[in-house]
Amino acid sequence: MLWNFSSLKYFPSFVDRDMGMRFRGGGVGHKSTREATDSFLTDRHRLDIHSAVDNVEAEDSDEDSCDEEGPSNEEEHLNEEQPAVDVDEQNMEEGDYDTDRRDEVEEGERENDSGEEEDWEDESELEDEPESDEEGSDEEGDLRDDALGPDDGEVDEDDIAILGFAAF
Amino acid sequence: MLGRILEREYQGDDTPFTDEERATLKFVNNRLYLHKVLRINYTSYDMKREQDSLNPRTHANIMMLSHDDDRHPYWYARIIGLFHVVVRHPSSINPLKFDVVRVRWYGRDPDSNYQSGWRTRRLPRVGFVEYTEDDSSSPAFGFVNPEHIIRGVHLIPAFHHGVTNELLPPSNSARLPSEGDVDFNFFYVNM
Repeated sequence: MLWNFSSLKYFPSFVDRDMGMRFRGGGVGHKSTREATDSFLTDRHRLDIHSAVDNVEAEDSDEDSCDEEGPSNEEEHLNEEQPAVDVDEQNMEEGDYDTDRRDEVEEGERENDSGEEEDWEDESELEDEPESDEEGSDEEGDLRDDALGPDDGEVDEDDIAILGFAAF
Repeated sequence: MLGRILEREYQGDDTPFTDEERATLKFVNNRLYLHKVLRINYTSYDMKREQDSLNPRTHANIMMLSHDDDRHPYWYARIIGLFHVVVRHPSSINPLKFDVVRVRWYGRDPDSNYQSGWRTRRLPRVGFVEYTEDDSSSPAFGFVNPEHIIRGVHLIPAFHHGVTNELLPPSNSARLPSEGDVDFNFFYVNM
């Protein structure tokens, strides 16, 4: 779990694994509430998304998650700002993840943020930097959103199959 | 209760019944049978059977599926009474027994700036629904079928936001004696 405890004003601890999954979505034993809680599947912190996709990459680098869904609203938004960004599927399959993408996801989130959350955003941004230095290609910012965008209304079953198990 | 006899789908407490409909229901001996503890069986995420022991005194908070359009899929409530009743209804020859949970509802934080979830790293925040005489506003109290309860839930009082006595006048039934006549403004749902 990628909670950053130090930036929270209160200290959360999980009630138990079951309760965690009630709010995480997708538990196999939670079939009766599955439909209602599927909305949680798209509710992920960006670090969470990174680790999920990276895991998938590690397990199966041939997995092509580029063509799963059409562009989300947030992505269109980003494209308006940065029309120069192109989708490069070749790079995606080689499993390079990069600084640019992180920054873009961050920007997208910041637009949605309310004022009170500015301060912790900044904190966590600092933490990102050492990680992102290791990785290095360009131009894939919106692919990540395709795979598991925070604003995607729906997630395909395939998405859950590909990303879900790795994440859990 | 009538909704359960007539097997209507539960949609919250909004479904009104007419006085005539209500008059068809007769409580045998005019009694409520109080209980101390409610045990809820549920299936955990890994398909194991679990049980929560709930009571109005120490483990009073429950969650159930939401029946409105809110993005958040759960409703939360505090148990303030547990009882069963035996009723007669024209649809059945034999008296019918029902377990009933009396609850005080929590509502989602009305502040739309407050976002919760994994993405924002905030716990969901709830507060008691304000009690009003006005029938059109959302009710502060309700009766719940125990079958609709998913499991107990741990609510953390938001100490920072303090207490208030404006949500409900002094009440012996809705609050514990130890709480005095005040409620916390907000609670965080531990997840």
